[in-house]
Amino acid sequence: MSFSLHAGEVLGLAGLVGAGRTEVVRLIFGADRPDSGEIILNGERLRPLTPRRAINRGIALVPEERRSQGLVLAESLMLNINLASLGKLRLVPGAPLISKDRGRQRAEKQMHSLNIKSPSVNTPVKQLSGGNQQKVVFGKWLVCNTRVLLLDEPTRGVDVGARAEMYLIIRRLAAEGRGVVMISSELDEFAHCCDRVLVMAEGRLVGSLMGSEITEDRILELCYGSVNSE
Amino acid sequence: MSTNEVIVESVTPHPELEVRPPRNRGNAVLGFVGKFGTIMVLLGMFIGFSAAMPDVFLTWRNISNIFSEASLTAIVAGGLTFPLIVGEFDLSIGYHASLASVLVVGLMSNQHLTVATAIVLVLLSGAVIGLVNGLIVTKLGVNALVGTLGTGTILVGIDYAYSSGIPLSIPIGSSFPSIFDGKLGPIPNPIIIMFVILAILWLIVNRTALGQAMQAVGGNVEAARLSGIRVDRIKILAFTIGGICAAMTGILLASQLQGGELGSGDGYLLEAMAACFLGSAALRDGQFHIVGTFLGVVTVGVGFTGLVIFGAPTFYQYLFEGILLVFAVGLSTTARRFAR
Repeated sequence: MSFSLHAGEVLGLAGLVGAGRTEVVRLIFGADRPDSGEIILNGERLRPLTPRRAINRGIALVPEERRSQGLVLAESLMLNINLASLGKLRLVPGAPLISKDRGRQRAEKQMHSLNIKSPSVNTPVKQLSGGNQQKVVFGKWLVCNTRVLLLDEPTRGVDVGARAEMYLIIRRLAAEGRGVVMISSELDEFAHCCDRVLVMAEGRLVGSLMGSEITEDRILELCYGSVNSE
Repeated sequence: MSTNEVIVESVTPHPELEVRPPRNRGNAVLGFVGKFGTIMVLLGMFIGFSAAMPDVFLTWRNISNIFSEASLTAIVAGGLTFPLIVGEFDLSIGYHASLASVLVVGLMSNQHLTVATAIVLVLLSGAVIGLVNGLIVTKLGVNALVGTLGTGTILVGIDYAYSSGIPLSIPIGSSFPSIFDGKLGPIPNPIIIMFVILAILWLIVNRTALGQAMQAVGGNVEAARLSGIRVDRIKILAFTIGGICAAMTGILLASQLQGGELGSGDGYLLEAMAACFLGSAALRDGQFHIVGTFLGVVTVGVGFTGLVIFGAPTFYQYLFEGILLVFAVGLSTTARRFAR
């Protein structure tokens, strides 16, 4: 499969479980090793074979399993938000010591702008609700210079109120000029959030929908159409 | 989508955020015991020994002795805290300390190096041994318990090869023993060295990017990796720091014993392990940390000294150490289980 993502766009990645959506975003992020293929960011050919390199290029992944892949549950909101950009906390560039104050300020800023409900930035994230935990994962990538945000089931295990907030956040992040890829198994979410939806089946791209074409019926039709034609 | 709808929905209560009462009273008590157990045991022993033998136990001389002895354990245990923080183990530290004590004396008496050169070389060898431990665990993927048991055994072999199992003495007139025996004002040198090293270790854990990354790796290795942390590198550095500390303890031990002897530092493994696990439950929810390790070391030290002053037979000292280790790990596990 091959596709492009534009700045400011929210691109949905639909398909049945096992269609290969998670694999695609993990490969782009460098979480797994690809057999072949290439990623071109702003005309530059990338080989983000590791998450570290992907992050340095502005690619970020909100993984499918928030608790086991996205967060260090026993640690504070502050540590989790700064985790992908610890280098930016250094008192002097290159020096080993970091500034806790700067870490706290960065975490507090995200706590307010994402409306994370937590007693303080020192609270262990395991004490937060699912929605607030997911916002912490978002916050982690917003304190980095993220240009491409890959979201794997971002609203799973998030309650209804926080879901609506999440849609707004996703739209805002795109409006600020980031490219967003969003995987979801909740078909109605695509119509809420996405400018364009790609439908995958059995590891292949089987269709692309734009604007008003994005409906649950059309997506399902594409998902099952390819399976039935086999 | 409609913005109004969002505002209405965003004020719906978040059921998961509500404070849940403890599942039952027993668990709450266990949680409390987990968190403050170490400190209670330490205070209990201190008060008990002080009350039983005020003229022996509660003297500046005795307290200063406890801390001087404890400082060697504290340094190696502070080092062991690092592999434990990243979720690994290092069983080689005791053998490593023994080898370092033989090596530092040998380099002075056999190779005729100066005190400073010998110390620097042994610290470097400590870093290399830690590095090798780290490489074995990360790059070869050997389970840390087995891998470091293997390297520890190899270190015993090297020790035999170097010293033929014969105790080495430091050259006559060397200034080396004064490292342990000397004082700065009223405070013995090893205590000062311990506090300096623990302060550095504390800074590494709490005030460096490396330390934050270590805590993340120990908490959730996959989340750390997916946050761009180079897990292998972090673990290797943790083992390296542990190795340097084990070598430092070996050097101080040689200075105290005024010689190097095979097996003289082996016992530090169990003491350090007990101290780290006791400390992990102190104040925190079963996470290893430097202040906790220090509290654990003092607890172990006070316990041992008390037994010695009481004149307890050797049997009881082993009994105490074994029970303490099991108790410490149990406490740590309890603290983690009830950390909600």
